[in-house]
Amino acid sequence: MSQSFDIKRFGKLLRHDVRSMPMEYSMMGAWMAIGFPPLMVLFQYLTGSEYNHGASYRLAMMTAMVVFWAMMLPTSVYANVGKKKRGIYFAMLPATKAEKHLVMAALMVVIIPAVLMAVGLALDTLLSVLHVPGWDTFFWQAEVWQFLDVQMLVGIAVVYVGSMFGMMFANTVESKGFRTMLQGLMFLWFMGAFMSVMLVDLLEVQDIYWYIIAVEAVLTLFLARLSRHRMDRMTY
Amino acid sequence: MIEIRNLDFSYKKTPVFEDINLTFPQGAIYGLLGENGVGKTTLLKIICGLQRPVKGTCTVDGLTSHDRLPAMLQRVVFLPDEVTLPDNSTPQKYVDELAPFYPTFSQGTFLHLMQELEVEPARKFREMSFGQQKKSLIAASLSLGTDYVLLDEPTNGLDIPSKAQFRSILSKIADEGKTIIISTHQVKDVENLIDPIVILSHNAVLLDASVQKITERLFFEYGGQERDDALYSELLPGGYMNVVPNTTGAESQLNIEALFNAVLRNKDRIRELFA
Repeated sequence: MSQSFDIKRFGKLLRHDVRSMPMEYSMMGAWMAIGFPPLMVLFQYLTGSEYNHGASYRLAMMTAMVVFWAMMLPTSVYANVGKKKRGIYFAMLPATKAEKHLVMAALMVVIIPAVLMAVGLALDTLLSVLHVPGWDTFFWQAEVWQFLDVQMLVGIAVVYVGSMFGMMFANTVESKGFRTMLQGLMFLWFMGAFMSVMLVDLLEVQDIYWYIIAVEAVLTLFLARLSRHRMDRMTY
Repeated sequence: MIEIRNLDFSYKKTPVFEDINLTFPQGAIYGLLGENGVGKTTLLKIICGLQRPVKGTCTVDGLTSHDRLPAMLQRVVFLPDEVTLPDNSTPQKYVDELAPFYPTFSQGTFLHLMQELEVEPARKFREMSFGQQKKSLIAASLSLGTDYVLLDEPTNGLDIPSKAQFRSILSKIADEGKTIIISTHQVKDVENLIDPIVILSHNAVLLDASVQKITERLFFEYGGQERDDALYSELLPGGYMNVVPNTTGAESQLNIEALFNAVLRNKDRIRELFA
């Protein structure tokens, strides 16, 4: 077997990481499935509007929710990697450092958000089929798709990936405080995306995204700095 | 074989090892002894690649430890003193997660060891005492079939019958040609088990010798008077126990605690005797 990268070992590690955290993943899936519809209704109710905000609104909310969950997830799934008592177990698993990092990235940045989004979209489709108030159109009929260009998606992806890595190993006091702040910002983003779709025209949704990307870029750099020691050395 | 050559290690500006050399050939149970803070755990971490030497090398079967290549990690298992276990998991699930990475893992050995240590493989970790968790981890670690087993304070938390079972299990594993390195303060728990013995002092290796060599160079006298030429004397019920240089070639029974104290109090003399 190769001592740098081996696809079979990568597969084993992927299965290992998924199997070792069933509670975290189940809880997250359950929250997404149970929490999404009531939250949507609640936010619509709070703004005093009726249940007719359309698919663009729902997609914006769903995206914000998935990103929020996905950004919080590494702190519960991989938080212990940076801690001595559990980190030794992880560091001693017979796989290369590159494979371990790649598995983290694949799970946290691609697989889990994709599964979450799929759960959300499936639920959204079901509610549309059932003609639940607020789900009058299907998500693929949303007007917001026309504003999602490649440049914007790349921008989101870069910052998103950076944030994931930054948060994986950050266990310092500063990073914990910072994480709390990030959660607050994410909530504001959540509200901001909602308000912008509801109260102004769709063009401003794009502006909000760019604003968030800029803020996240700064946060990512800071988090990456905090976590550099663990990322580089992984010693205990 | 584990080889440490001209190794320096420090935590920031606090030196732990300076130019140490050690070799651990296969097929023995090494006892790694030393006072608190001399670097016993650090040495184990260096061997399994969790710490990077400042200078020098540490290799396992020719593979540099701190590279932590899969081939090296498949040869070494390290059981730290304290481990956080997933509460909802069980020993069986724990080994199921590890097993695919170790071609030498044996489910039969795991179940046999769990039975010998009297722990149920399907019981959740959160329902176990610290000692039972420790026994589960010992069984899991040994069933991986690695050539090198590094144990840090393995008898902490074990009750008296479990300590005897632990000794018996390790003896069998060593007979299979495995190398076991035990770092411990509980020397009584591993007496008659460890051979050779390595004693660390601040920054250096004070003693690295087999039990046979130790008893060839030192004589352990029980029940006599306190001797002026003793490297260490201790009053026990029935008289003094003296550790003296073995000038006659007479055989004696090693007492590890007495050896440890004798070595710490006569560092230069011990170096001369074992040079």
